[in-house]
Amino acid sequence: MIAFVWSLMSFIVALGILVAVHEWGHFYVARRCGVKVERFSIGFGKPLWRTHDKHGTEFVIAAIPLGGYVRMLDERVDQVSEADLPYAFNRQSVGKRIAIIAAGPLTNFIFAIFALLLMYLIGLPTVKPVIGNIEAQSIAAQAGLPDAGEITAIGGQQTADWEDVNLELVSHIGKDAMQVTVLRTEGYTQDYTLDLRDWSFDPDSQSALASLGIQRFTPDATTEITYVAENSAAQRAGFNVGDKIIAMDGTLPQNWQQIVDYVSARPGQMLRFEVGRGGDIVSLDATIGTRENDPSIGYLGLAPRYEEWPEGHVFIHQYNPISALLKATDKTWRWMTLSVEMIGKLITGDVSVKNLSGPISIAQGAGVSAGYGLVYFLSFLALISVNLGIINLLPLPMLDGGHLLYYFIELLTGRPVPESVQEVGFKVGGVLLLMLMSIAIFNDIARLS
Amino acid sequence: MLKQRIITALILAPLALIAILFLPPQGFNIVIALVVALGAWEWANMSGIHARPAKGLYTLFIIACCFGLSATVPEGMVWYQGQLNSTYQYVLGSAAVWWLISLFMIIAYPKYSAFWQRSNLIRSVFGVLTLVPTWVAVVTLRTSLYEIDPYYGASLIFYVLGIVWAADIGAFFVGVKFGRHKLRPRVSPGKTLEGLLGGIAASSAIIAFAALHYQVEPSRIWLHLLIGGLTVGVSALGDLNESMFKRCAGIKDSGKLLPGHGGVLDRIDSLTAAFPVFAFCYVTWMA
Repeated sequence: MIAFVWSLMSFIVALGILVAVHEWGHFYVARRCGVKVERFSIGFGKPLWRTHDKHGTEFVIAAIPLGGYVRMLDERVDQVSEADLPYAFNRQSVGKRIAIIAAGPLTNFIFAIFALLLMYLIGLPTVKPVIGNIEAQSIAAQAGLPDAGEITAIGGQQTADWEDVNLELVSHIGKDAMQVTVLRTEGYTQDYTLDLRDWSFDPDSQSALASLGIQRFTPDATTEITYVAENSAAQRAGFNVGDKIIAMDGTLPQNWQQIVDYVSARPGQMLRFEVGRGGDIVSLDATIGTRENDPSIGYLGLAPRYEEWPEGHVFIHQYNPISALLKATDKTWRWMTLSVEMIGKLITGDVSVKNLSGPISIAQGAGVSAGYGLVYFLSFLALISVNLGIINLLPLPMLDGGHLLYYFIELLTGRPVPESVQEVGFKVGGVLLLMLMSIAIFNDIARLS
Repeated sequence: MLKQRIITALILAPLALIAILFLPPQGFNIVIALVVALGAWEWANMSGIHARPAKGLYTLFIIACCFGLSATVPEGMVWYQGQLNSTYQYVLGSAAVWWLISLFMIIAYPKYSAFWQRSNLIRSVFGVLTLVPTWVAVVTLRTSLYEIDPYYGASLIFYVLGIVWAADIGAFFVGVKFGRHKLRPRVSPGKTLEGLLGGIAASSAIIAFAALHYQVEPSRIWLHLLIGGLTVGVSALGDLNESMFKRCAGIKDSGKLLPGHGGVLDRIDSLTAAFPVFAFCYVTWMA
């Protein structure tokens, strides 16, 4: 319940910011072009709060937080008095109208750059993309990828962290081959070509990395305990932080995974543990509990201490203002091109419509990223902002891109596209949009259950 | 007027249903050719041909085109080993191009319209490009996968009719019930934003239903939606196209054959665009 409220709050905050940014772009350029803006609304429907400025623009926050709008004076919609005609949107030159409409998506891109800039200035803790293991018979194994070493580039694009790696992997969906550059532990770099023709993966059930057979390097978990959950089987049995598990039911576990496997398979059973505690060995009898969400899996309630990350593996992505700006611009551009590629792949069928996400998935993403901290939320905001900008530029009527399409045609023919024809486009775009939203929401719900 | 309109529709719809479901391919071809011929008679009027013998000649020419195609390509050979006959493909391809040109003509109208507005010949040719591909498209869809399932083609025809009619019916009823925001008060006062959205929703429902019925694979859903959306849009284009030619000829109804509906062309104008474009997309991507 708390997670749900948290997701919802984060979602509303995120969407509110992005909608405000987008509409502000339209609003600002409209003002600069001398168009009278009647209303600037964040959210649809019933106004909850409103105020006026001295130019007569009404600022509104409305009840349904799924979007917003800027309403400009327009002869096609309202009665415009003779004196106000020069301030009507439809009386502006095509160039100005293009500028006003394009300003929305454009502001989304600029906002993404600023969010990422801020993120790089604050600093983002990241992990170097070092390979931990390569699964036998996997695509990565067939390419001869070593089971150690750092991935420095994919397809010629530098990869500084795992997120970069993921991005580049996803951008190779539908391609036949992928070049992976690895800095080997021996100290030299080598290129490997992965054959992707048999690559198939379902983003809902596994990561792109796992589907290729690449496992990340992570420090080993020791058998020392750093956390005992409240009211857990472990607490009742008398486990303390700092205990070291030496034996369970007479066997000697070599690593943490063996303990997890042993406990998981024995829900409800009584197990005897021998733990090292300050030089002594203490025997503890624990009745294994069960997982909250799955009663068939045994659960004790302990967390292990991990080995330290090796020197240089964990670092903070932090830059000086100029490099941060360059880096942020670069990343925004990469996200933009990737979004366009993805839309192309949806149409060609390389990416299934099953992978479309709707508002519910975005809400979950918002909640999760906000829970991790400000820098992650910034990164999430930037990503959604880029997506919003790109989607809005699609030449579908009702979206900004649809309007732009009509204005570009007007630029060519010298006269506005007849309203009857606009209606034809409206129908095509309407059907597509409605169906896409339905699929996305349907996917979201399917993912929940 | 509305009562008359509904009565006419109630008589015609079952006839169409029976023709699509129960006529053998050959008989079906002939019936569609006759409907197209009625359209041709009216198109002649819109092309500035008013003398009865000339109108008859034009109608005969259209019928001859259909029967000529029928004679050179027997019903069983329209589809051969999963491939549409190449002549048919060319006809559908030219229809797709024609509707693209029509879109530009409507966008630019009255600019660049001088060359065709004055020429009866060019307008007659436009009629051929509108009517003959309609016949070809309907026959193509009806005979699709005929050996495997004689009703498969019929279902495709119902699908196209469903998309087009759902848009009209949805727009009409939602518009009447909820219509509040006028779309274009000066040009067509009856149309409302709510009606337009109702039409879109109704067509979308048909397209979604078809996706389930034909079990479209997930990777092709996009194409399915695109073709469906295109069909909705292009059917409106057929309407506009006919209106443009009627306006040039200075007539309101294309004829008065159907009580309450105007002429045959007024009833099938959307379909003359929807069928060829849908069939072209279907043959190119989905078959």
